Amino acid sequence: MYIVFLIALIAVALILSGRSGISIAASLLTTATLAGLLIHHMTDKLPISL
Amino acid sequence: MNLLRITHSLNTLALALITAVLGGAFIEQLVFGELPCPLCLMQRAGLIAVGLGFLLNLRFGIQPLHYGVALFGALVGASTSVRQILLHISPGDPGYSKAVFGFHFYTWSFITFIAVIFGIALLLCLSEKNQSGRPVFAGRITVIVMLTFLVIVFGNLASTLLECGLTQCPDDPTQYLWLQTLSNLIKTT
Repeated sequence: MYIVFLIALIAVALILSGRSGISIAASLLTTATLAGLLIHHMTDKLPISL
Repeated sequence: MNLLRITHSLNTLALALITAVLGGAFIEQLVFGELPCPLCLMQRAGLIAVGLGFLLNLRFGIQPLHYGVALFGALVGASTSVRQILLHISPGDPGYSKAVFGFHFYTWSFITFIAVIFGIALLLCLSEKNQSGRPVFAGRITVIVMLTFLVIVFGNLASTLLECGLTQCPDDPTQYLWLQTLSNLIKTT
């Protein structure tokens, strides 16, 4: 679970440091990771233990 | 006050509200000792994902792309809330944690995400056609809100690591895993 907060923290740091392109990518990755964790929670099929 | 300034202020307000909700969840956790379940943590992450969209607007200027980032976060966050609502929908199920004004926190979370989606739709309607992508106002309040959001995100990362460590969180957590491990280590030495 920590991984989504870690990516979010990186995204916030990138935004505040003024890196536009990569910060948008990191923000979208945060949401994608969250969606992955939700699917994992519902199915228990993804090979992750985060 | 022109439209750009109004939308900038509304973005600051939205990020401040999200930070306040996350702070309230922290107070609930620390003061009342209620550890967040995995789905509760995911709803917090959903709010943070929404906040990232508003933060992008405040830092780089208001753009539809940034609202899109926030909308994706709101949709996934709302899905997480619905998942938890459906887990406790059976008649007689007391639900997880306590209720506030008749609704559990995950129901409030769902209402919040729907409100966010409506709010973003409104902000998109207010967007000017030829709006510059550059940030124009970086007042003291905006800076404070952005830094508080950073602190809240870091706090959630630290709290989650303390509660669950580097593995999956238990469905019904009763203790902080890393703190318990540390306590056991101290006792054995």
